[in-house]
Amino acid sequence: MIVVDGLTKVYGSLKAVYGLSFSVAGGEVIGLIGPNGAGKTTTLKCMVGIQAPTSGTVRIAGRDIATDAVEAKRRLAFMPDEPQLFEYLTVHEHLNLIARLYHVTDFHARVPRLLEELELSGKEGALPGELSRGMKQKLAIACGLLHDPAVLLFDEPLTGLDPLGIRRMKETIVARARAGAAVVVSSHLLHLVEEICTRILIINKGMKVADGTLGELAARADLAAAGSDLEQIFLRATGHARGD
Amino acid sequence: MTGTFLYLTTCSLKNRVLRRFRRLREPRYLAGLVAGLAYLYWFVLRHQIQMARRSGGGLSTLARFAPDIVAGGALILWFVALLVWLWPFASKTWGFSGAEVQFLFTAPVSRRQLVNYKLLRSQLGLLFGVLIASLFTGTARGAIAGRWPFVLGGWLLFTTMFLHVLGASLTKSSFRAPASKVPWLAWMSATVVMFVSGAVIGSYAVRFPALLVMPASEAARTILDVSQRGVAAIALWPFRAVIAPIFAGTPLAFAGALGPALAVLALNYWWVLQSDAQLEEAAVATEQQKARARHRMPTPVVRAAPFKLGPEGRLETAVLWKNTIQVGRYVTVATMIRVLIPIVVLAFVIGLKRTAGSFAPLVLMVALFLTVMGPYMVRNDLRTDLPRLPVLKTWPITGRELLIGELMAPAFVLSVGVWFLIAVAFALSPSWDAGPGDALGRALLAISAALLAPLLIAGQLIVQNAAVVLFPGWIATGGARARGIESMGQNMLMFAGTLLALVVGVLPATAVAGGLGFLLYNLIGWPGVLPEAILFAGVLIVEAGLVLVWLGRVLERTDPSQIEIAE
Repeated sequence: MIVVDGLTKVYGSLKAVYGLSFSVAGGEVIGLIGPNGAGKTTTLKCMVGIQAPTSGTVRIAGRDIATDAVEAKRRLAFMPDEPQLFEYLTVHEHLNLIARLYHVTDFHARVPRLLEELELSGKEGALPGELSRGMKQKLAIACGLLHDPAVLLFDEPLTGLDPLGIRRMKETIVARARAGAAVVVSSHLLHLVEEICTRILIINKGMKVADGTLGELAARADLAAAGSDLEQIFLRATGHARGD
Repeated sequence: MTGTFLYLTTCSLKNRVLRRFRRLREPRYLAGLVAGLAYLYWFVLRHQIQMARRSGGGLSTLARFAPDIVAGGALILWFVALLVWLWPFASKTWGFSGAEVQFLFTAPVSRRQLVNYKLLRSQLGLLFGVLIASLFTGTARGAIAGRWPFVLGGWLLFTTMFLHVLGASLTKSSFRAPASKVPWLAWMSATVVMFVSGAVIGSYAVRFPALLVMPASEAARTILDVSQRGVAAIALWPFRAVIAPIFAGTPLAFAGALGPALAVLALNYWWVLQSDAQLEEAAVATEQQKARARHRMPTPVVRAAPFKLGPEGRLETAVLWKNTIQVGRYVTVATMIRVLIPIVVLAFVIGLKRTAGSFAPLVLMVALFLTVMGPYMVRNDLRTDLPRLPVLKTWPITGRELLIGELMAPAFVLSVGVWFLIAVAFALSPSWDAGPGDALGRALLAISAALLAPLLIAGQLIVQNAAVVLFPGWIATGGARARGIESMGQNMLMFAGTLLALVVGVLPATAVAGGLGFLLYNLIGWPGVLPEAILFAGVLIVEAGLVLVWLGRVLERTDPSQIEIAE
């Protein structure tokens, strides 16, 4: 569903991402982790077409994000860590706008279900300024889920959510993957990654340093000393473990 | 502490300049700079150099008109100051960035030091504004060498205005407190303003009936004379004092005018320092306003959407729907006043003498004003949306569709306004003795104007939006705009650049339609205007289409990290 091949993004003399390749199949939830400045957000931005890669390709459901951008974007949703909403549109109007952009013909039926799932029922007429940080996050996610995308990319999806919201969000992500979507979750919350991701991709200084299930990573010779603890694996893979 | 502020100011300036220089590595910014410099040289500097050669660089070109210019300028300045006092909303002059509020307001820094810092920060912008203004007004002074009094005097004037706007804003803030807690200085300041304005208004009120029936030149003479006699002369003295150095004909006269101007500046400085009760509150409130403006706009009010948006149809309509909602939700009393003040002033000035029994030309002037200035005032297009480009770029929409959708809302809002005014002018036109005498001719003229106005509006909107797409690092986007006295230079350059681009844009249409129009007008009279307008519109639409396709591709390639959200 997602194929990233030799993705490179260079800013001036800085190589933010270098030769990154991976793929995500439908039903998979891949956890993208790495230290600050490792290139996670740049990778996501290149994958959704916000930034053009310097070289390499990204294919979403078989469509190249650079050469067939509109069709590729029709099949994906990106939920950034900081929800970017239109201050002057109500919750319902946000969803109405998205319905038109993605041609969601049955949006009148979908909206109540989605709002219920994300605990936004009763807030249809509210402006973003009247919503809490967590609710704004949920609205951004509702906008992303409305068109039932085949590919979902989350950047720090739990930021600003309360404990109940966190639980619901994890359930939502897992449910979408079970329904066949390919999901990428970028987060510093290793327990989240450990809990919901079927595979883990660790990047450091713009390059892939580890890729596999938790079991596969733990079995790797150079990471074996870390055991099956993701934090230890992460520190060892990124060269920050004690003694490195 | 002065050293610290100087360090902060110079570091900010150095980094800003370096960042702008680094941008020049990109060919489009370099080309933009070269085009800008060529424009300045060709349309401004070249003429002034020629004038300087002819006049031999004399200083006293305007010397003999100086008293009248100073008197007229003082009157205008008083009117501007009065508007500042009457303006019911907080000024943004006393505005600090989020970082400044976080670091300076929590640091052991006195209010006096904060005022000094703000003054220091504003000086570069003020000086740049004065230099640009001196370039654009230089021909009137006749010589480049003779421009230094304008620059120095202008700098002094703008600094005084900056302080006065700040003081007025702080004084008005203090009146929000219960009457018993309003400081004595605020009461005194308001009293002085009332006396000064009362003296000026009173001096003219008694002569107003006579002024209305005088010929224009005699009325202008009387207005200037009144301002220099009696109580009006005393009331307007500070305003004359700060303007006088600009128009001093000789170095000696400049030195003589400098003393009173500096005294007025010092008085305003003292006044601001003493009005410090509301300093932090006003600054923080302004910072919050600016923070809102940086991202979006003031707080919106929920009103019904202009039309229902179905899930299927053209994507441009979705963007139009979104942006039209935006207009409705941000129209406030402040917006209406901002739009209405220039229109009312224009109507008053023109209506006073020139309507000659019909309001049709007056209404047409307002329509023309809306056509020319509207695209600068109504900004619910990419100029507002560009900071959200990361979101817009995830939408399944092409750059061209997005751009057309963005342009449609302001073009639609302004066109409806202009059409209404054209219809009113047409209805009033029978009593107007100019233009075609018969109803058919007037109707055809009105239809032609109604056809062309939206295209001219759209043309300017395309130029404005092209500027943000091509130079996202140079243009302030989002709710924030370059405001205040210190941003005058930037605004003048932008306005001149837009007009030039528009003139270049309409040249092909003029060339194609002009010949036909001339021929038809001579053959069949006024009815010939309509085919000319249709042809003109057709060429403009083709041009606009080509530009939009190209700009759409540029927008698709635009990296959101290049976009500068103004502080």
